[in-house]
Amino acid sequence: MTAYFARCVIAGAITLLVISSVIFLMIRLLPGDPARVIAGEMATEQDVALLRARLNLDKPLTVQYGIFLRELFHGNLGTSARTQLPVAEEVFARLPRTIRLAAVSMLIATLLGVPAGLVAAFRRYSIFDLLVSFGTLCGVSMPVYWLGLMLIVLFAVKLGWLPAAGADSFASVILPGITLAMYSIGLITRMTRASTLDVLCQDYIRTARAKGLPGSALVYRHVLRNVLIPVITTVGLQFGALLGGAVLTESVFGWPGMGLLLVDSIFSRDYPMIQGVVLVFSALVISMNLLVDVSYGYIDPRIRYS
Amino acid sequence: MIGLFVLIGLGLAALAAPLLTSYDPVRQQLPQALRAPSFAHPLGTDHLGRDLLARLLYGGRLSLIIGFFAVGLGLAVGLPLGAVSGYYGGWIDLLVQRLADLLLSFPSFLLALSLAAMLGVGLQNVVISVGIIAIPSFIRLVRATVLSIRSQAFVEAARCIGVTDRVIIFRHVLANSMVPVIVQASLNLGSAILTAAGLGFLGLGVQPPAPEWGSMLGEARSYIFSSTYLPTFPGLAIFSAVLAFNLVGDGLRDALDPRQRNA
Repeated sequence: MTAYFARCVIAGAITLLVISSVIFLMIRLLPGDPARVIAGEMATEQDVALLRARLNLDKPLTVQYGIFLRELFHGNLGTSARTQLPVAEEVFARLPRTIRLAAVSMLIATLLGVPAGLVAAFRRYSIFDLLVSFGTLCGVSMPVYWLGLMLIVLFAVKLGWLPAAGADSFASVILPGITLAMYSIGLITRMTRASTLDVLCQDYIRTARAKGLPGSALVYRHVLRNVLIPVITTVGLQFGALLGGAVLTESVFGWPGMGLLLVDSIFSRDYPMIQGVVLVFSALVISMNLLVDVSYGYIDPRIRYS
Repeated sequence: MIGLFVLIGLGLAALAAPLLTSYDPVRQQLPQALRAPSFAHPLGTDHLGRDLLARLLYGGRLSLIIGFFAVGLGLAVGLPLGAVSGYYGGWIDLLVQRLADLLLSFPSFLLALSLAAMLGVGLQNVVISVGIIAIPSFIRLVRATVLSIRSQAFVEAARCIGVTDRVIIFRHVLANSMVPVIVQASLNLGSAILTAAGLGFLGLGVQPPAPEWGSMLGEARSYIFSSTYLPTFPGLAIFSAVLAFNLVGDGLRDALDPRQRNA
């Protein structure tokens, strides 16, 4: 088990290194002069040259890379071109809010999706199953931003029940959470349903039924555990997808998280900030995937030996 | 099946846009701004007085173009890479696989956003960004097919009689992987449209005054309280298009998948 764990961690670390290198290259290889872009159009040639020297952009690429890595190990993600404040400060201030949104969505999606998928599989070809199938299809086809807007119109304006924007109160996470969860609900439900159908036609289920095991015990002891293996993987990997969708949801609801920060910095050409946010996002996704890999190895022993 | 009909309907509507409406989707008519749906303007007008129905129809063209070109890019790069990677194995395979896994594990919209930040806005860059996202799924698919037929007798026989590797790859591998590729392409078209519209919504995709559905939605944000029809219809359009593609993809998969499950 430890060997497997070590392998996963090393793979994750390498991936993070590769991604950070790609991000590093991306900024440097942009068309146009980054220093000029950051300095803005009003800056004089002198200012641009000063900025270039300060950002080490005049040094050879390998030296820049070395500096980049060194700064990274010290936790220094650079300075925002817009506010002149440390990037790490802003990003880590917003990180908890994005994670809160993603966690709430994950919870909603799992609590709704898994039971729905289970029931739909048990009652195959029933009305419930058909509704679920159609519903999940709609869920994965729906644009997140449109759903958000529609929900705002319905619940915040027409009915006045829930707040439309901001992250002040406890209730303000409900609408964005549901919006973000929609795609995942669809995916998780489908995954659970497919997995359950798979498990239900296995021989050991038939054996258990033949032995006279009553329905509920059957479900809890045999079906659930085996169904959940691929479902947990999906749930874990969905977290990464949720982070992507969080950008749009945060935009619609004005939720002050990392996604909104990313969009704002793209518009203001704040490259150090963009770099920092994407890096932290990548680190989050990679750690989540790592968690999924490790727990998968723990649950299903066959994986460890492959 | 229903999806196919919806899709054909959408496609025809988009192609026939100039015939179905006499309104110019781009020219501003400020005196008629923000009119609610009426007989003259079946879906109302937007904040610059342009007929919404006309914009949606022309926007359909735009979205379909983006979708097809982006998935086309994905196919053009992904298929050969996957085929070569699976056929030759070794370090090429390792490299391509690691790359594909990296791309796939990253949230796709974040990737599109980062690419947009790098490349800039506009139709071309949207197609490139969305296309790059589509590549890894095709690589994986083709590689799986290649691996499954590589060890079969007819491949060995072909090599014996001197058929070049390239011909083997083209003829046999691609022919065998056509079915899953078509299914995947259909599903990718749906998500391509979704992603492109997402970029448009944020203002990072196709720029106004082009009638792209996503940017129409983004522009309508300020009007959700006053003219609710304005954000409703573009979103509905995006939704139905993506739904149609997903229906077609699912339908194709169910129809062409030889494995039938009986519970």
